[in-house]
Amino acid sequence: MRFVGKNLLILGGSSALGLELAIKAGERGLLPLVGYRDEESLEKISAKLYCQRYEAVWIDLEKEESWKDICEDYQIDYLVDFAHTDLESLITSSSEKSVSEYFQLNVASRTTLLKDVTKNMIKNRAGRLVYVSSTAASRSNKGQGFYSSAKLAIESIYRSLGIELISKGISSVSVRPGYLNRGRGEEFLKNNKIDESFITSPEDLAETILFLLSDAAHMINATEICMDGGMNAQK
Amino acid sequence: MEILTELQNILADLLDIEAEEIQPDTYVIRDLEVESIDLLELAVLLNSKFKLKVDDNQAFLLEIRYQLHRQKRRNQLEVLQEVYPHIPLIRCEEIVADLQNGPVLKTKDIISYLEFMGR
Repeated sequence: MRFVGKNLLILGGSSALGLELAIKAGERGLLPLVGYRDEESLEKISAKLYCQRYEAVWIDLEKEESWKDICEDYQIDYLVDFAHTDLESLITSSSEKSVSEYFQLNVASRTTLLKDVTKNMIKNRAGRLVYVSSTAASRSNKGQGFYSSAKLAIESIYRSLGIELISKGISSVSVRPGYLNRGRGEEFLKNNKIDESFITSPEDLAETILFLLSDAAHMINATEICMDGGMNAQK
Repeated sequence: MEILTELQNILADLLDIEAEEIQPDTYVIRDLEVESIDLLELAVLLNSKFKLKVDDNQAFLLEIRYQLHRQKRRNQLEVLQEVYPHIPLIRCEEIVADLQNGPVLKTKDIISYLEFMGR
């Protein structure tokens, strides 16, 4: 795979998926800028990535100054976005305050971050955005209504960025993994029997994301790609 | 180098036109057919050139009609002077008279903003 750019900003970098991507990206000659929010996240990054070149960068979706500093200090060529918080609740029993805070953080604050990152990319007239969504965006379980709607909203923002900024060399794509055998998915899979052919690993996801970041995928823009082994295609 | 000359060079390069086509009284959107995506890139270039944090809304008068509508019970000149302190009164008067003709942004408004921010 060839990569015209170098610096890869990973939001949610301390997650199992983020760390796996950082490892594989480093192997391909990219410099991962691995986002962390707190001391615990920073320790996870240090423990996993000590063998390779990377930079840990503080990013907190609640604190605008965190990504403004990054946009000043680095030329960002690629952004991969794993960041997301949880709000598992039935719609009818949700609290207005929790819902409001959830969308403010996951959708509105993220939009502000994306504005600054894409302005950074515009300087070079080049950039690639990959949003890690979920098959829950189109098919969700009970209690996932807010998660699903936030994922859909964010996908739409990424899609719009791909439409609006392609003339400036910036493109975007969202990927919808299905069941993952690490992170949040791991607990679910312990308690639910799912056909193995529908389960993916962080390693597989990282390789797919790297392909989407590569020069070969430049015409895949402003769209969503499902990565669930065909599970959602079935009746 | 004078701000007008710097701005002419930036816009000429961005829009692939001759610098001479850009004068203080040139309408940025009406005459040069600049689109919103171009303004986004212009803000980035101005940030870089003048080492300023350019506020797109202020520099390019993006919300001028919204601001006037929001405070429609007030005198329009007063509103403009309050919201856009970088624009001289005489220019505010021109803008009020010109609103019905289309996007009012002129090159000199951007120059006024850069001068104001650079103080």
